[in-house]
Amino acid sequence: MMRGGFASLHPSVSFAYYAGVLLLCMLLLHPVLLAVASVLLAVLLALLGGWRRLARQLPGMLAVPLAVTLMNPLFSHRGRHILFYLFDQPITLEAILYGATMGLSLLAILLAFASYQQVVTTDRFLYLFGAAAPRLALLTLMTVRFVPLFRRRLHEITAVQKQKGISVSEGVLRKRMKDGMLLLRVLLTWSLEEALQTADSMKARGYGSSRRSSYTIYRMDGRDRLILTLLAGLAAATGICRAMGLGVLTVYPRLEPITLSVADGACLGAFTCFLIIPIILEGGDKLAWQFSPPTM
Amino acid sequence: MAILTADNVSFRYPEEQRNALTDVSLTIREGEFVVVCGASGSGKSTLLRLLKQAVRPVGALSGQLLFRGRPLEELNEREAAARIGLVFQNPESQIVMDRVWHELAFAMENLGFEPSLMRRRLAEMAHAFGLEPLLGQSVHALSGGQKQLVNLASVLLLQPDLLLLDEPVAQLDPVAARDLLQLVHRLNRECAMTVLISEHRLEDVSPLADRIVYLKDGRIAYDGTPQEICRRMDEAGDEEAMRSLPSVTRLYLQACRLEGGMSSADEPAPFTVRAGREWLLTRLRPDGEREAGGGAVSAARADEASAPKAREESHPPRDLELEQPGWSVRLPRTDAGSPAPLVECREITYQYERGGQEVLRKLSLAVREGELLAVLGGNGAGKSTLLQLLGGLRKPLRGKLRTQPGLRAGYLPQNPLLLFSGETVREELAEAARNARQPEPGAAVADVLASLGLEGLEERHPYELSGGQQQRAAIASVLLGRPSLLLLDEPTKGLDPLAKEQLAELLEELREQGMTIVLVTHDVEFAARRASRCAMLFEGAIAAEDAPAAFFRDNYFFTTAVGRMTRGLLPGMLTYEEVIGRWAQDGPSF
Amino acid sequence: MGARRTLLLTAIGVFAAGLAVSVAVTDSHYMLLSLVLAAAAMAPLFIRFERRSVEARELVLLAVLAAIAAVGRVPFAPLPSVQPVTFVVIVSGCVFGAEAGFLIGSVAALVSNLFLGQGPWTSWQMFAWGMAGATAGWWRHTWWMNRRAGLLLFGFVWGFLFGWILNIWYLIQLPEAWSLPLITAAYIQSLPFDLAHALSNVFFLAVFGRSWMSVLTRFRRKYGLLTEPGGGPGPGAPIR
Repeated sequence: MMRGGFASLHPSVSFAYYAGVLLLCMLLLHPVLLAVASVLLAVLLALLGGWRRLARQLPGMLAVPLAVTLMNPLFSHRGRHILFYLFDQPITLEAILYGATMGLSLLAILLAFASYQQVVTTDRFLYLFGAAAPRLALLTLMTVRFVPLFRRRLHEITAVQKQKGISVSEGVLRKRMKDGMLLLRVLLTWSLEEALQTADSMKARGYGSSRRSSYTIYRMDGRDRLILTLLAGLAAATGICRAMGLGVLTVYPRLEPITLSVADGACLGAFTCFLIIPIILEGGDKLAWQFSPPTM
Repeated sequence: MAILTADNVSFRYPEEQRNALTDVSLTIREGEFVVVCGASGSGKSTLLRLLKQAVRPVGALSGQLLFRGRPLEELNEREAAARIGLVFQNPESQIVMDRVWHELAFAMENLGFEPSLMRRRLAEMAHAFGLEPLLGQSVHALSGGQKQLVNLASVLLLQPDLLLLDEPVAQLDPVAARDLLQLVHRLNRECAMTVLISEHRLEDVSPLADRIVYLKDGRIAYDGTPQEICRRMDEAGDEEAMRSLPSVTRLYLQACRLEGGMSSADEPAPFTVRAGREWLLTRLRPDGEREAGGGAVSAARADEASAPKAREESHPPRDLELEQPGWSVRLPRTDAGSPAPLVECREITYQYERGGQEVLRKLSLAVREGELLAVLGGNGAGKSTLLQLLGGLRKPLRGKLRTQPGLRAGYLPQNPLLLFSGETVREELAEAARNARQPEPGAAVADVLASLGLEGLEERHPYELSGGQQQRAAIASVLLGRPSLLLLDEPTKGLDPLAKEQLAELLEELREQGMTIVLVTHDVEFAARRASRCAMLFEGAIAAEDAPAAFFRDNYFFTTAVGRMTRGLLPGMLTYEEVIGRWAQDGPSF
Repeated sequence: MGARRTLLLTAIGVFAAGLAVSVAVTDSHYMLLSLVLAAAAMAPLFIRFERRSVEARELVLLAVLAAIAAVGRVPFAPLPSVQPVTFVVIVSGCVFGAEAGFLIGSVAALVSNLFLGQGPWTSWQMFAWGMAGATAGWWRHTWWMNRRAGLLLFGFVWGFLFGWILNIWYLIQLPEAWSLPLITAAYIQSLPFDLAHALSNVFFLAVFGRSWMSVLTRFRRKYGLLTEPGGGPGPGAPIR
């Protein structure tokens, strides 16, 4: 499956992007910056998977960040600006802001993971992972290959065993759990038996006879290098701002105003540029196709 | 020059009483295409695995194996992996990776090839094998034939000198099987690759082989060109070995016998339909010798022109087949006027998931009591789905499925292992008996064990049985449910000729006891020989149904080898038994 | 190539760790630190696996069991919060030892999330299931693990431990609110799920523990792998 846009970049570029996003979303603890990041990441997710899908995914992703936002003021009462009392416990502005920051950080991270899943597909992830831990990557790849096979086998087993009255969808809970495990045991025995041949086929093809090399279908090109440089530069700029104490909202010991200073604005600018690169790539690709004259 | 020499090789598995191989001596020349033939358990796989050190079984080996004059053991692992390639039987379980390109590259990665070398070889191979459209696909999307092709290609990427194939087509449908064999043949012809292939049926491989080695109980019983071994089998009167010969060849040998002599050395035995037909033409008419000498073209012309002409005076050619007394239409046992069918499908439609493809489309079919219905059809035509619907394991999406009240159906999946959940055959059967609420489970189990010839195997694990035994054990388990309708999914797949014969006898016996049987199969020969009715599944519906004689008579491709050989000459004859029976009655001068 | 890669990886690891510690200390933001710590906890076992020689059969066996554990969620889909992953991992650890149990658990978590969705919880799941397998392997020769009651208790405890470990991934976001009431609230909220998990572990181990172990033991022989000479820890369980 080939696609243009952001997902067509070399895996290491897209991986570097997501690593940067995760890191920066954990470092830049400022509600405004994180809100901007969340919006941009949501837009990226929508461009990749469609708005409808985003609308479907969003409620699930909001639950935990929301809980974090609400739980912080309920359990933390630090701060000078007491807004009101709930069950005799002070609810402070500081705690609310701190909770919101943490919640937004989490939301941005979850959104990043969701689009990561679509861009850095299993193949790409294991290609990268294989450079660090080749054997573990091989084990994971083999497991990934087995999962759909076993699923299909399990469906077959389920259909066949039904004539013996073994089924997970009918009967009391105890029987259903028992039957499910029985089906799984048939799958286990069958698969372990067949896998002996898999091992033989690996050995017959020279597994273990030399140090493995790895074949790759990905090649770094000029565009990949350019974008990687750009991403690295922007991340470094944002990081330097952060090291200078910018782009973070100090809550304790004394709450600083939530409005952004000019210097904070520079930090936000660099961060936004970093975040927006894949959106430009993805959106540009979409537009190019939309406006290209039909070829037929 | 010999690429491989086996010198008095014997092998015994641990804890076995008998040798798996005894005194096997064999020399394979560079560029030869050798078929190792024999029944299940004759030592074919053991021989091939001994030649590949990485998968050599544990056991006691004596004698010597030489690869290009060097003992096989002296090859280092890398060399052994690259020089000798091995493809196994099961297409699915050989695959290790998730994507086709990765699976292809797997062998090269194992040997640590440079990326540029891998890329070049992969490009070349993909091009030569026409694999480009598959490269990016997930291996789960491939058909069995494509999977086996990928397995073969992955091995070939190491550019082996000797290619070992262990029953590579046993799990494939006939079309895919022939394609794969043709490809291997091409490699042999065009790249001079030495090929050693094991098979238990010679139907498809004998025309390709330079040499056939027939193993019997671990010893080489026959070794020679196809012509030589078939003559020697004939001389020895070795019925069991002759079962593995192509039906055309068997017909020839039987006919020679009826003529009161052995096949003679100067008349080559036919191995292909074309050769068989040429031979038949020489026998059918006294003036045949003259034309058969002219080869295929004249034979074909003879078929079109002179054969009907010979009888033209009395019969118009079109109705020839039907009006020949005693000959053609072996009228089937069709019970057209029989009572209500056991199961009746009316315009049923089925799909696996919402919005998915319709596997069955408005299919109508009636299963009549006491029949043996064979459903034929291509891959993915929905044959297994149809069986599961008939057995009530799935519900049709639309349409009516009417079953006789109280009907019990027993479904035997293609892979009998799916059915087993017990640790021993006895445990398995006892559970089946309990599930079916047999009044006397113990007696019922003993009974079914005896009638299926499974005594002595009760304490074995189902997985440790041979393919034929596993199948019988699975049938036993199904029969304990006291079904009156037995549904079999591809029951002949991977069985050797003897096991197939035993299965056919078993089915015959069950029918005599009143069992109705529906089976789906790719095996045209089996259907023609054993079914009382055949149906063809095409595009999710039944395209044709009839008694075998009528069903296959009009087919051009999709009929038995004997049917193709005798087309227009001996109409309606599908099996070699039919022809021989007729021959014995009327003599050769039809 | 190998040396350069190791160096690079070490450098990245040290940088991430340093950053994580500094962020944790200066800003009390612990998520990064927690991810680094989870990775560090798993690293020795993974590195060992990378370094030693692994037979094709062993690799295939681990992959099959990890895939069975991952696929095991499918047949139980109609039954909420009943899943057999922990059971499969524990049983595998008991038969094949700590390292195998750890690898099966962590790879099963990673792979099932490839299909179900990754997130910050992935590393915690890898850690929790990996440790369930590893502890089962470490303690498999103790007298109490060889008792039925001991094994069931082990499964029960892991049902809760698993949930507790997984709660960490979001609690880590609330450093300011850390307090007994918060922890209690979080664990009370997850109690029904953890209890269901623990009870289903007990059920599976009670009804199927023995039969699965006998199947796996038979295959251990058949694969000629991971056997234990003289009852001591074999190549499958060298770490204690």
